Amino acid sequence: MLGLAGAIFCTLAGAAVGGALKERQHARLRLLESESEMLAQLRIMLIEERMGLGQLLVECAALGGDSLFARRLRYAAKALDQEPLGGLERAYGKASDALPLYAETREDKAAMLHLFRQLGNGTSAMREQAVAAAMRRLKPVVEQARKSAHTGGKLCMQLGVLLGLMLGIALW
Amino acid sequence: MVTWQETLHFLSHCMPGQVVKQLRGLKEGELREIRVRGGGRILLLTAEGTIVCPFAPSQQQVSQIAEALSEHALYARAEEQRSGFVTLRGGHRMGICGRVICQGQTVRGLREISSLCVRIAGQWRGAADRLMPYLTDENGRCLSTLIVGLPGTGKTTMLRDGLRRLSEKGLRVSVVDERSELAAMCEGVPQLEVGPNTDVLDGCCKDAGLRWMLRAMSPEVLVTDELRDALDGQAVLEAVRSGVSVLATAHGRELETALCRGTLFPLVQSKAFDRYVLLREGSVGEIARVYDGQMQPLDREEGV
Repeated sequence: MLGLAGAIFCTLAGAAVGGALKERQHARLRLLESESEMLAQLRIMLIEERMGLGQLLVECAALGGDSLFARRLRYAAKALDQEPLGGLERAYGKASDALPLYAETREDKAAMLHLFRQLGNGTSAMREQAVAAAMRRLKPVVEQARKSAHTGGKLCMQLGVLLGLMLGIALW
Repeated sequence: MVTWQETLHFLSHCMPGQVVKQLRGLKEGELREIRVRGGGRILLLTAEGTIVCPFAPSQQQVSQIAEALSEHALYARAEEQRSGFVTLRGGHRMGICGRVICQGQTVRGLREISSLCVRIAGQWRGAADRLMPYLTDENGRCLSTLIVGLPGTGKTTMLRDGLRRLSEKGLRVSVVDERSELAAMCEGVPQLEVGPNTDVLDGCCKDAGLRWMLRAMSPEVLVTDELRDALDGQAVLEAVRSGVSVLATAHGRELETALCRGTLFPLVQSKAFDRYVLLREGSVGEIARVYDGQMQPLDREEGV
């Protein structure tokens, strides 16, 4: 009886671990898509609206609703307002530290910091180019994340269940 | 209206701590200018004299201060930068210096900002007290007037107070505020007092703006600051010929030389202005002399 319970538990635990891995991949996809959308908006606003960077971040974040990246942008805008001499890179760095996104990889984080460093300097055209370059870099990453979320996510779930089941049978 | 507390709050956010300490010791109306130079000390020019702040910013820090003062919108204001200054929140003017990028004879941009000169805008009620008797005729109609003076002699402050007074008298006043210095509009509300009967077209170039206001708002008085080029002059002439009074300012030490400039000479020839007001050099808001449309001095020399 105890063995059966152990086997069921292992199967469920395996399924839970697989599910968590799948969710992480989906969360990363959502984050990257949200970053992509907001960068596209940021690019248009840089050209058309010609507002201060703090206000620009707030306006972009408004379009992102309550997504994690939008919250980070709002935080960065607030940090920039409180400490304008620090510049945008520092403000975004603070936001990034204060609001860690669990689905964000180290590379994603570094790419965003690099973008916000460039966004705080240079002419309008240079900043617009920086956003455009970041969007170009992001596009294949989003595609890859989408594929991973569909195939890899399913695989993680199945592997989790299978391994859990195997362990359960072995214990039984 | 922008108060000294608001100005202090704004500046305190953008200046290093040592400067903020000095700023906090100043009273309302005392601060005239802040000068920041890379490698030099930051100077506060007040009504009483100059305060040297114990802080020597590097070139990079000067750039950071400029970015902070412009609310990180310098990138979007390249056009303004090319003319040498940017208007800040509250109507303050930030003159900038650095390495200019030229293409042929055209200024393309500015990099490595090395010096700043922030001129503090002030709401000086009563600045136009001595101007008012010359500004209207016996029927209360506003006379077209050009205020001429050197930078820092209070042309804009006097113009702002004059238009406020006319607006309070019930005249329909339209302001074309190309550099946001007259009304300092913020989210559709003037931060400086321009009167209850005043409409402001913010950020629009003067020639298009004057025509716009003429068509759109049926003004009795059109107001604009610093006539610079022939297009501005042409627009003023059109307005005057439409029967609208124009109040404007122009840079100049003496009336004769100022009016001989290409921008203003056609206006003088066409007798566009009924009054010319010359401000005294080396003082703020003091009228040296007032002339009529024929360039004849009115009354005695002021202050003599």
